[in-house]
Amino acid sequence: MKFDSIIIGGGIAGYTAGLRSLEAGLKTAIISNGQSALHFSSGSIDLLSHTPTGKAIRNPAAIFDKFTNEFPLHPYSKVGKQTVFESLNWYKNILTTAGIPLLQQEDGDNHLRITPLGTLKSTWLSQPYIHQLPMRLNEHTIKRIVVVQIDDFRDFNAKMVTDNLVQIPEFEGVEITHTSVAIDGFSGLKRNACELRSIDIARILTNESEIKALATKLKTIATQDDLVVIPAITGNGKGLSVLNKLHALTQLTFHEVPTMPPSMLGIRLEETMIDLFIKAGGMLLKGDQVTHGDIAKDNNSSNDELSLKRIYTRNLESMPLTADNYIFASGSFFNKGLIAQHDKLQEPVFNLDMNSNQARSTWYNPQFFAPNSQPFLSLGIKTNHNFNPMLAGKVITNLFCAGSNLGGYDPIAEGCGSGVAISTGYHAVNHLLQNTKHNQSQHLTSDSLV
Amino acid sequence: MDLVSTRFEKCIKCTICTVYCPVAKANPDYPGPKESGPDGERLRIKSPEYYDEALKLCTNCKRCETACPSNVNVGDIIAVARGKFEKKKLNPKLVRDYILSHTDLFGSLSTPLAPLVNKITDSPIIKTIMDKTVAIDKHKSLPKYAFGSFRNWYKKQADTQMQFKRQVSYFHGCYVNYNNPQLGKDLIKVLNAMNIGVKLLKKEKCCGVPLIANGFHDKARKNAQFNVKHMTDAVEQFNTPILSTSSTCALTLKQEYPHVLNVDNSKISSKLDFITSFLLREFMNGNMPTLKPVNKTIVYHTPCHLERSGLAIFTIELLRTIPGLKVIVLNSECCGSAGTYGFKKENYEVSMKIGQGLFEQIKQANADFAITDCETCKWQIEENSDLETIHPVTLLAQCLSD
Repeated sequence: MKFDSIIIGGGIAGYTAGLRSLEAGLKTAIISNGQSALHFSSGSIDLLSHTPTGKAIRNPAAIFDKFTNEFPLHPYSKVGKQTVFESLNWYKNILTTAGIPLLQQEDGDNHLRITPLGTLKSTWLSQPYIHQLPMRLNEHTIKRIVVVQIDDFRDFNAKMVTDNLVQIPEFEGVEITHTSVAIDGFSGLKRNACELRSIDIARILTNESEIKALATKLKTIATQDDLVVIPAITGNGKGLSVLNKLHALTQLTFHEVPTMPPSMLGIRLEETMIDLFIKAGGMLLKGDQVTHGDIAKDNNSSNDELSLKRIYTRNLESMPLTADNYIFASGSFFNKGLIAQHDKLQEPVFNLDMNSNQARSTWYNPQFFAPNSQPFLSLGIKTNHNFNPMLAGKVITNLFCAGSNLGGYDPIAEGCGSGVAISTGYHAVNHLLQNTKHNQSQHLTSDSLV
Repeated sequence: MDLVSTRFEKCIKCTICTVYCPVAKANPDYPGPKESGPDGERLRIKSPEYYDEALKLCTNCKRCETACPSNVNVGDIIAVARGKFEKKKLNPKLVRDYILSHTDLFGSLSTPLAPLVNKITDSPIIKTIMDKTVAIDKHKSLPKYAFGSFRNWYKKQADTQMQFKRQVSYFHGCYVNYNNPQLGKDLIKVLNAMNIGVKLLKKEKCCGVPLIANGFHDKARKNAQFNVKHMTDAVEQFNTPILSTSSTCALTLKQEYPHVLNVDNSKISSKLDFITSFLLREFMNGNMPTLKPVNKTIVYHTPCHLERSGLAIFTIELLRTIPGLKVIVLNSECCGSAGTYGFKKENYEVSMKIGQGLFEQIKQANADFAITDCETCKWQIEENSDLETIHPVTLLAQCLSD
């Protein structure tokens, strides 16, 4: 079966590429092996919080040119400043129009958000009920923080959050307390309490009377001057509307923190992207997996270059899928986009070249929580300046890598995972449009999806 | 082979399956696939006493497997555990489960008397009595039977079908045989227009899926062995592909036989094909009948089992080959019927809650009709959205130039 572009991988990079490809009028398919790592994410979009050398960044735009000069092999340096910011704005606009507003600081600064551990982390775009603290933390205006424990819910610990928050010097003088409330339908579940997750509460909170009851209880423990920290327990398709109702009933300022998986905040992003993709006519192969592909000499290339002819999937068996161009957004180790064998790193679908052949002992830092993170996070597929990968040194011209299977950056320590995913997915479509034979008929418009 | 083995070890306990479980979404008392499947399996290996009766709330829709990022066959683990540990209690519900699940027995009894049977099962008094006695929900209409089975009709066609040089075998299933022979006739019309003749297996029984869902695993296994034998005979004798028009029969023959019933189908597995997959390949190879343009808008609903098989792409692309047809693909959601599940009084409310999202999507789409590959989805959609729902093959048959 023939498509203009096929995207391998249904995570944030894959859906970005898929949506952008549909916008360009291309016949597009996404092959997704189960739901993505967004289900484990904060649901905020990180752009760049630290340099690879560990320096905190307040305003990514301000230092971007310096950054690309200093780290020319970083994916951002290959994408370029203009496309990085264009792609993030595009992402923000389509999600906002689709009902998940993504907000940022007006001056383009990063902002800090309170994490489930009661620490602070810097990010770029956040959902409406993430309270954005300024990077210059001493300028915050918080008077009191109330951390809310939900009775019988073990995936969030209000006391730990409180204990950590009070240690932040800039919060000296801020009263920080924690208290618990019960959600009747949730506490009434006759199930093993160890097995209750955020999704179970989210389902109870689709019930109007439970929302009202919770609102009444919240009003007794906090006032409009407080910042009310609650675990992210609304979702299941209507997460934001439930929060909007809670807000309307209480007038409280909420700050949602992601819980142990599944993360309601991340699910909102994934659900929205899937919905947009299907409504715009994209073909989604859910629960399928690319097993291998046929790679041969590229007849259009005078150099010794390769091209991906067709791919095969687990469900479609002998029926291959073909496309002019392919985007490879298969994820990192966690998503099985990269595999760590005992003696080598491997990309399991096409056996692409990796950015490091060093011994296993160099992949990790024996100190798990070392401040400079773990070297394996920077390992990944080796690509050229266009993000084309290589097979035994030969470039595959119609395959573009995007997202966390790429090597050369550290999504955690640099706080840039979702930014790299969005910008490389977006950038890949720009490149394949240059490749594609019928690109004269396509016009990219930012509003054709919305 | 020990089917339970340790397949659950790939589970990382992320709970994503439970997020996408239609039953857990509608019924908070259901522990969800993670707990019922891989988690429970760890315990059940220790002692069968850990078996939880809540597992019978699972509809076997397999959406947990489609959602799982670690490729754990969550639904299979639950189905196998039910087959192994579920205890049958002798009560009116057992009678009902027996009637609902033995589709070919009751089909063969009912088709000769169809007008009468349909009238009886449709009467409000009988519905109320069935509701009160055997707990078949009174809001549901039992499937209508056809007057005369598909097989009976086919006997007169067999000779004509033999004339075609190319042949396929057709596993028609209970629905086509007893409830909707027209779909089988439509299939023959479409394939004949492509110069392909249709054979039936010498004999076939219910694929077994309602039996699995109602806990009659031994009977289901016997049916599976019977069907595999007859399919093997057909392949050995004629070397034809074996096609199915039901997305659920297709999944069962191919995947549930080895995964859930432990019946080896490896000799014929590669010959089994779902109808839209077969047709689209033919179309792509140039064997496409002439189709009249249809200026209609349809909504396409992906049945859970077709989604799990990964074959919805074939139906969607097939529909897109019909000239003039506007195809709206719905974001795939379970319709809530789940075979016999939604007919049961104790499940009716949950079943409606599960389907609500889909019914709303369909109502908003403002289409001329709905298309789906599954018979129970069809009943559920028609009952709850007032939109006529037909099989893609029936649509193709209507588009054939005379």
